Amino acid sequence: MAVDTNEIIECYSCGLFLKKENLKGSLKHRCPRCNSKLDIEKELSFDSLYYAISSLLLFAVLSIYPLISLSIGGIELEATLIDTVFILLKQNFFVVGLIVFFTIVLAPILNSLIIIFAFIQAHTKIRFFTDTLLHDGFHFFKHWGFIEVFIISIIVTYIKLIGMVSSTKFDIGFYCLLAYIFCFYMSNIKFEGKSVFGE
Amino acid sequence: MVLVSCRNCHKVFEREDYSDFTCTRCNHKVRHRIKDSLQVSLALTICAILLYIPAMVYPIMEVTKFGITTESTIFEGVISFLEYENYFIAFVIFTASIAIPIIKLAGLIFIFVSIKVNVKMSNRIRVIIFKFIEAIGKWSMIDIYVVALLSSIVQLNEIFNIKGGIAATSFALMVVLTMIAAHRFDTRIIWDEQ
Repeated sequence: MAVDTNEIIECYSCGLFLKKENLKGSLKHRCPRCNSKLDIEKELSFDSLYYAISSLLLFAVLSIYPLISLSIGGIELEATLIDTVFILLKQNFFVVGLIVFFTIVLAPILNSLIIIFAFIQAHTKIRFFTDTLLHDGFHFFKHWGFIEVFIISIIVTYIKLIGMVSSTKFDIGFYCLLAYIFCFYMSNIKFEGKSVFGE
Repeated sequence: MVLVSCRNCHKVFEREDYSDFTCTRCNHKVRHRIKDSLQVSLALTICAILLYIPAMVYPIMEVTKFGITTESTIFEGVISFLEYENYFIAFVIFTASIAIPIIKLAGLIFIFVSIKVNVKMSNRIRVIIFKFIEAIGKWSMIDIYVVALLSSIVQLNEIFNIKGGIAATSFALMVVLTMIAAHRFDTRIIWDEQ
């Protein structure tokens, strides 16, 4: 007997196939066998586009301004996001530099760009990339963007530095980063990767 | 007839058997299970364990103060913070750089071994352990970012200078390899084997 495959989902933790209608009504969609969260498609919201644009603009601002600054003997020292990457390359830590660059700069930027391109392609006839590339790219860059880890690192660095130099303070870049993380997260939460296929 | 779904775009197909085919929606190859998932993940985890050794033995940071350079490993860093009574930082660094990598590596090895060896543990618990390992994976990068931030701020030539140590490369690679190992592992085989 043929089944309507559009009404079936698989739990990717245990491989159990479930009927979507059996999940209706429950607030949290969980697999009855392994209790893992099920990936139920959500409606695509324009909010994700606005958040993605906002996060890109905030990223541009936070790249310019310092994240932390301090003063030692009248000399002002500061660290920007880009400096953090380039100092590693300057000190010949190419592998670490590339990992840091990818996880805190490239992946978050590309993640937001993909969301914007997905909306452009969905609502116009312009085709920049294939649907598969957008879908895979979104999930890949979402997985490898560690910007939230970076913000905890800034706080740890601040606490470390304040013990050595009392003039250490968070700078404009740090506050922009907080706003950026909010927009970045919201854009990802509101975006549905599968929507790029237009089904 | 059997049901097979594309792991990439999650489209479900009804097929005659479990042979490979191309997804009509995303054009990716659809397999019943990820090919050689256990073997590849195990190999990557072993590589990560090997990288963890130099990451702990060699210095992760070099601090130069008035021309005198001192090198410190991750563990020495934690000890020095405890000596300065900076318990919060000591806790964060210990958790992110020592405890989480050990938990991740031991947890992954345990799950991989438990699939082949009869271990009295429910599959649900194994999946919970795996999900936990997946979730904490990236948090080990804290120490690498802290070294990068400190290096970029404290640059006063010979007066006061902070530089990354050689352990940084092996530590960063260990984190990345562990994450790939976890990502590459198909948890569905836990249930297949039972």
